[in-house]
Formats: sequence, structure tokens, C-alpha cells
Amino acid sequence: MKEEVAATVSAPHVNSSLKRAENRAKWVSYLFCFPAVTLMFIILLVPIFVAAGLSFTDYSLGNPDMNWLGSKNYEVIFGRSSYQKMIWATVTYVVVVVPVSIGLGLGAAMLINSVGRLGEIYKTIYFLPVMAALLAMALVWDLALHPTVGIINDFLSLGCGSGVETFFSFGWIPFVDGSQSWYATSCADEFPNWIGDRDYTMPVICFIGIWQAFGFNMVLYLAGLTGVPRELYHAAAIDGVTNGWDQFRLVTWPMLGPTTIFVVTITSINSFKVFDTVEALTWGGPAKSTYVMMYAIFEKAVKENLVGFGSAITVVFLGFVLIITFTQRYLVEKRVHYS
Amino acid sequence: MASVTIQNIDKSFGTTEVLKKVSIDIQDGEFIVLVGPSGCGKSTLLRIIAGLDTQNSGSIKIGDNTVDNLHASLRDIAMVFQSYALYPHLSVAENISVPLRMRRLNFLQRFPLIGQFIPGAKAAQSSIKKDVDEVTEMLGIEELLNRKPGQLSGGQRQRVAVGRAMVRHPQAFLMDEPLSNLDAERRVHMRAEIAELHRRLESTFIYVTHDQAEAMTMADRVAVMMDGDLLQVDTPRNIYANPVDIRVAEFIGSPKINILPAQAGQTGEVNIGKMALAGVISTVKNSEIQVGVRPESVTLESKDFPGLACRIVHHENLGSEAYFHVELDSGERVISRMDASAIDQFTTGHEASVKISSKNVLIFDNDGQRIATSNEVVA
Amino acid sequence: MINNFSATQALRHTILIIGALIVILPFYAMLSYSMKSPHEIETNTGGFFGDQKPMVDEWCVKANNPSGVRPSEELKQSCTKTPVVFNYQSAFTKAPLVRYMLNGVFVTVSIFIIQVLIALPCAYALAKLKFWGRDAVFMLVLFCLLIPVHAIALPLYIMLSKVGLINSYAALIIPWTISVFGIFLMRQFFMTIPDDLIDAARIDGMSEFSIVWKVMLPCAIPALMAFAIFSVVAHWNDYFWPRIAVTSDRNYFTPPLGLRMFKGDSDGDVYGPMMATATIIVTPLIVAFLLAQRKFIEGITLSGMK
Repeated sequence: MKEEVAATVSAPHVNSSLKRAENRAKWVSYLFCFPAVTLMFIILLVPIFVAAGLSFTDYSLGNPDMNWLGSKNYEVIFGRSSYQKMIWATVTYVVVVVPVSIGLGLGAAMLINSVGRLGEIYKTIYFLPVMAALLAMALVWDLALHPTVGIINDFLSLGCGSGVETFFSFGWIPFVDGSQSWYATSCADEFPNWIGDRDYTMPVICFIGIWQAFGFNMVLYLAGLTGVPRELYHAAAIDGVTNGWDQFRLVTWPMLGPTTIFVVTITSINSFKVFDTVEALTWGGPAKSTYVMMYAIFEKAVKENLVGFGSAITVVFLGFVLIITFTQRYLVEKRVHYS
Repeated sequence: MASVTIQNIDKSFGTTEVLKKVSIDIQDGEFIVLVGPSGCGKSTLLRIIAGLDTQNSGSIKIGDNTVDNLHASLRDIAMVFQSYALYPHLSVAENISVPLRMRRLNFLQRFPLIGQFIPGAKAAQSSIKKDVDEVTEMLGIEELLNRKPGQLSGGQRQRVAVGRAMVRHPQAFLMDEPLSNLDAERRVHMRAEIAELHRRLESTFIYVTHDQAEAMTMADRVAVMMDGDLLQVDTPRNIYANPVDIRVAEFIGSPKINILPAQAGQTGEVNIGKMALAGVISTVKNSEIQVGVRPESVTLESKDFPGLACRIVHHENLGSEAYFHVELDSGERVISRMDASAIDQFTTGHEASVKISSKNVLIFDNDGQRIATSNEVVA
Repeated sequence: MINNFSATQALRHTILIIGALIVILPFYAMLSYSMKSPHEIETNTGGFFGDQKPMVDEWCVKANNPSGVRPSEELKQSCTKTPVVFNYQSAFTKAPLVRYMLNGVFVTVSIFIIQVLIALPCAYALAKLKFWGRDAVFMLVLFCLLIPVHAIALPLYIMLSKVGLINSYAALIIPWTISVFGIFLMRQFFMTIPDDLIDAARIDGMSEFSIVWKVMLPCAIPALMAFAIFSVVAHWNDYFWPRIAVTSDRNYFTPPLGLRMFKGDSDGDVYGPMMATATIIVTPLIVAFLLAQRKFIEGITLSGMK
């Protein structure tokens, strides 16, 4: 103690150069953070306020006048049927794509985990859609699903008039009328117009979304699975777990909790942002059945230059996203309580 | 409670032989410890007994039943793992009741939400609760019932793991290095607790560890394994005093036994260098041998004493006793244990002389096999 | 895990194979269509590679015969080529595909570099330096993680429009320069680097600036690679933002935009060249992935864990 006091007293200029160094360090920290913080404000935060502000107006680009509309835009969104369809389409898409792509991702991960070295090949194949530009692949699906030219209908109609048709008509199941089955009527008539027919459009869009997304979830689950301690499986075996389902419920699924939370968050947000497939294939139709929010924003604000209205949709969209993320954060705090 | 018979177990992983013809007869109610350095195969053997791994050849019997084809859950054994392997998402009570739930409730009864309404479920659940309470009381963890493993200390988790093993009253308890994750103080405490548990339950305990102190203090019998071979199975006393292999002698006992090269002469008299070891007659004559002598049988005398000349290079003062590390003129290092007061007499850097008491000398041939001396029988 | 042949293994493989076929289907179709003549596409004939019967390139004929009179046999001859050549040639000539690809490269690389320049120092400061307001900045980062840039595309578009930057590289790049995900990822990674290393550098006389680029950057290569993969894949494949940011000037089209305009411009029968364009756009990342699979998958896993 005495020595420290002596040192500080006897070497004042050393002391102040230390202080100068500390100040410089602080100054440097601010400098390092300055660009990032500034950009966060300008690019991420300010636009939210801009959108919020514009959402109460009827602003258009290039138009010098701008009127205050109060909450009229919002009333339209939640009141008019075409915008209710917008919310419905978006929610439907998310509610379908998220669980299915997560389930498929998990299933694929577990299957791949159990087949040894060959699993690498499957892993690579299943991950390809994630790498390929969605727009490009959507156009390919568009062509493949074309009612007359497309490879899918072509393939399906190969089975017509043969044993394949009989099998898939399910007529061989008692009490089932084979001639009324989907496959038989399609053979007789024509196979569906997958993208143009209102009954099929949304399922197809969902399918493309799932096709693109599940590989990513698979990779995350594969990592999660390797993180499950092997001794837990041993303990479970000794405790009496003999079949796969019990093992899944007792060990695998709970240990994948953190992974699942992450996967659900990412997949949900990405599903909300769906745009490419809709803009390239359906333009929100037919009859607004695939009129998702991002497309609506694009159509209203950019193509039709109804910026005020588009801003209102943007705000609603942000609201949805924030609700999802906060719900998930809350669930994480509550349930994933591991050491 | 049952005996466990291990017969000629062979196990290889790929081309590496991990267990070589291991056979042990474990008595009913015995506390046997499998001890050896890492990689000797002891954990593998334990997993084979449990049914988590299959042997390449050989068989295991628990009680009168050969269990080789039985799933782990049907062998009526319980296991405590090194990492405790508690289900992190379940509370203490739920963790302990898992083995009972898996056995007493059928698939439908275990189904989430609706399972409790299936007939028979309520009755089974209350019987489960009774057994769980009995066990938690015995282990002193009743207040922890609703906590999750993440909220428990290491020692508490260990007790919960033991509880989960106990609750089924299995025929044998298998323990895989359960104390390795505890700090030294906790470990000493838990050693006593486990030993006490064994006395109370009177079950067969098969315990695996790499710590020879644990083996010596807890076991009825110790099985020393190295590189897949079972070297010796004997009481701690015999393992210490009567090792059949030099590797056993070196592994058991701390500090390590002193090994010195020596010669056995025409009539079996033993000479270490130039010093004759009085009172020890080897049954193998005329060959190079190794003499093992524990630190407590080695004393230092002044350098004029007719023993092995040496120089003191280091000493350790443990309060009541002291260890002296000396270097012989011939180059070998020897450790001697003496009363702490000897520090006044022998200072580091000075010369002294090593005296070896002939009473507890062990002789080994150059392959490590124990050689009898004419007044004793080797185990 | 013992992998002997058994019924369950066979079942698993069957399911996986069926899945693989469905996943690969569009890639197969894309490649195949990109090699076929219009006739083959319409009738779905020709196997995978197409017959490769030479066909007449109508555009070529029209280009060399602007007056529209009946083209001569020689003209038709010189404009005859195999379908695959026709498709891929058209892909590059109907629209300036090379320029679009170069735009894509320029934009993607610029975005990544700027992201690193901005994120790395900030991540370092958050992880290793002490200063008043550090927690506030980190809270800001966490909050901004919740904001998908695509969600605020509209106001960004308005703001850029007001400063006259629409239809430029700036518009394509600026919104992405701040990568909160990058800051977060790098900060988590930096926190695992021992302080001693940095103190040693300071004692050696390195300025904080040098420390960021000469000490932290090399240590953080795995995390940086993970981030690079995310960034490059996301921005090369991005369609939504370029669609908004580039309204009229085709010189600034990125590859997905170029492809889309291909479909929009033409009236139906250009499936062959369109598929060829799609193939060209998709190939770079697919090839990169196939060559460096482990790195890609490790990168994704690493980010997920953090």
C-alpha cells in the first residue's frame, strides 16, 4: 500500500499520460461506433418514423400536396375485404410454411443423422434450394407447373389409363368410388392449372416456400442434434425407453428447445417477407388469394404510387413482426431454462 | 441384489482391442471398484454390463439370468453417469419418477394431457409418488423436488442421479466415475455418503473410477484394469500389499512405489547395486529383477550408514509427515516417507543414505510379474 | 451407430430418396429446359439433353432482315443453331446478362466490404473496450435486430428518392451497409478472444485501429466467413429490394431483375433462353456451395449457435 502511494506521488507525469491514454481509448471507442450507430439511426430507425408519419397521409411521390387522413388508411386495411384478404393470405402462408418447413427440417435432420456416411449426400441436396435465387427457382416451378407444357402435369398424366391410375384412384378401398377420385377425374378431364386455379394457387406458393426453406432448418437441427449429450440417451435407455417415440419425447425434443426457438423465429420472419414467388407467378391473385403484405406494399406504394397507404401497410407489417419476435423472446425466457 | 458374473468379455472398436477376455465374479451385495488409467476399458465394460454396448464375445449374467440379449431397461440394473445425465427440462421429482413412469404406465397413460384420464393411471401415479418420496427422504433432497437440475449444485445433482437409480430397487447399481465432476472437498464427503448408501441398501455396487484413492477407500474388492486386461481382483489390503503385477503396484498407492533394478544371485539373495538386501530371498535365482518398495518402507540415514548412497534433491512438508525425494548415485530417484521432524535432520542438497526395510519388499521379474520370496505366497 | 442393412434403414433411405427427387426436380427441369428447343419444351420430349436438332433462330433472322421481307435460305442457314446454343446465346444477347452479372458481383462485394468496415470496429468496441454508453449501444443493436430491412423498404425508397439516388448503385448498396446481424455475430465471437492477446498488442505499441484490423480480423476469420456466406447469398439472390430501388434504368439491374424482365418482356415462347438465364444466375452460388460445402454449413451453424 505504501509503495503504491509513493509511486503515484513521485511520478505525476506518468499518471497524466496514463489518463491521456484512457481518454484516447474512449475517444477511439466512440469513433469506432459512430458509423454503425449513425447508420442504424438513418437506415433502420428513421424509416420507421417516416413510415409511421406517412401512414396517416395520402402522400404520393412527385405530388406536392399531402393531406392528413387521420386513421383512414388503417380503417381501409382492416375494413375493406381486399385488405382483409391480404392479412388472411399472409397469415395463412406463415401458418402453413413455418410448421411444415420446420417439421420437414427436423425430420430430414433426424433421418440423415441415422443413415451414416450417405447422409452427406442428402444433406447437400436438401440444402441446394437455400442457395438458389428464389426468383429463378420460382420461375422454374412456374414452367414446371404449367398446365399443358409443364413437366409435372406431363408426369402425372403418364399414369393415366394404366395400373397407376387404378392404384391412385383408391377404388380398390371398399366403399370408395374410384371414378370420383381426384386422380381419375383429372385423367378424364385435365390436370389442374396449378398456379392459375384459385384452389391450388396458395398451396403451390406455400409449397415453393417450404421447398426453399426447409433445408436451412435441417442444417440448424443437424447441429442441434449433435449437441444432445449422448449420456442422456443412455440414461433414457436404462430408464426404460425402448421405442423411438418415447426417446424423442423424453430426450431429443426437449434438448432441441433452443434450436427450435431460433428456427421458428427465423422461419417466421422470412415467411412474412414472402415476395418473390408472388410477384413473379401470381401477382397476388387469383382474386387476391395470394395477396401477401410485401406484395401489397409493392403494388400500392411503388406501382400505384399510393405511398401513404403503402406506409400504413408497412406499419401493420412491422407490428406483426414485432409481435412475433416479442412472443418468442418471452417464450424463450419462460421455457428454455436449462443450465 | 444379485451377483453379477462377467465371463470372458472381448470387445474391439475397429482394430483396437479394448477388452481382452475379462472375467470377474462379483458377489451379491459386494461393492466392487473397477479402477485403472483412462482408456483401460473400465467404462466400456460397465456399459457392456448395462447393455448400452454389446461385447464381441463372452457373456454377462445378472443373478441367474444371462442378460446378453436383453435391452438395458430389462436387465434390472440402474446407472449413475459421470455427467449425471439428468433430464434438464424436468424437475427433480419428475426426473426420479421417469424410470417408474416408463414401467408402470403404458403408452396411453403416459400421453400428455389425456393420459391421466386413462383408467389405472391415477392409481399408478400415486404409487409412483410414494416411491419417489421415500427415496428423496432417504437422500435428504425433499426440498428440491420442484427445482430443475440447472438450479442445483453439483452435489445435489449427484444425489438426484442416485435417487433416480435407487427408486427402482435394482439388482445392481452401476456407477461411472460419479465423483469426477466434484471438487476435492465434496468428493471426500460424497465418498462416505456412497459407502453409507451401500451399507444401507445392501445391493451390489459396481463402481468405475480412475482415482485409486476412491478405489481403496470404498471397495470391498478392487479390480485393476490396464489396456483392456484385468490385472488383479482382490481386497484393497491385498492389492496394496500383494500386487501380482508391477503395473498394479505402481498404480495403487500414493506417492508411487519406488522401483529399483536389482539382481538375484545363485541362492536367491537380492542385491541392489552394491547393497545386499538382507532378509529377502527370491525364489527365482540368477537373474535381473526389479525391487519395489513403498515410501513408508524407505528411510533416510546419515551418509555413513551402509545403505544406498544418495543426495537429497527435494522435500515436501505435509505437516505430520514429510516426503523426501532423493537421487541415488546410480541415478534413480527414490521417495521416502518419514515423520516431519526428520526435516531438521536432512536438508535438501546434502548427502544421505537410503535404508530399505526388508519387511514390505516386493520383487518383480523384468516383465513385471511378481516373484515370490521364500517366506510368502504370491496371490 | 451400427449401419447394417435392415428394413428400417431401407425405409429411411426410401423416404430420403423420394425427398431428394422432389428437391432436385426444379434444378433438373431448369437445366433440361435450358437445352431444349421451343418445340421440345412445349411437348416435353427429348429426354434430359434434348435432341439438339438444329433450329432456326428467329431473332437472328429478324435482326439481319429488318425490312421484314421473306428471308433468304442463306440467311436462314446462317441463323441455324442447336437449341442449347440458341438458348444460351439468346440469354446473353437478348439482355445484357454479362452486365447484370457484373452488377451483381459489384453490388454484393461492395455490400460485404462496407458491412465489414462498419461492423467490425463497432463489434470490437462493444466486446473489448469500456466506454460510457456501451450498454446503450448494445441495446440499440439488439433492438435493430428485430427490424427486417425489407420491412422498411418503402420509407427507404422514399428517402432515397428524395435525394435523387434511385436507379443507382448507391440505392442498391446503401440500405445494406449496416448489418446489425454482422455486428452481433462478430461481437459474440470477439468476446471469446482472450483479453491478454489484446493487452499484449497494446504493450507492443499497436493503436486500437491496428488492433482491429491486424489482431481481431485474423482471429475472427471463421465468423467472418460465416458472415460472408450469409451476406453474399442473401444479396446475390435478393429480388425485392432491387425491384424497388431500380425502377427504370436497366443498366443497374441485378441478375434476378434481369431474369424477371426477361419473362416480363417476352410473350410466352422464350422458355428456353429464360431457363438458360436462370441457370446462369443460379450456378455461381451452387458451384461455390458444392466446392466448399463444409464451410457453408459450418458457417450457418456457427451463426445459429450465436
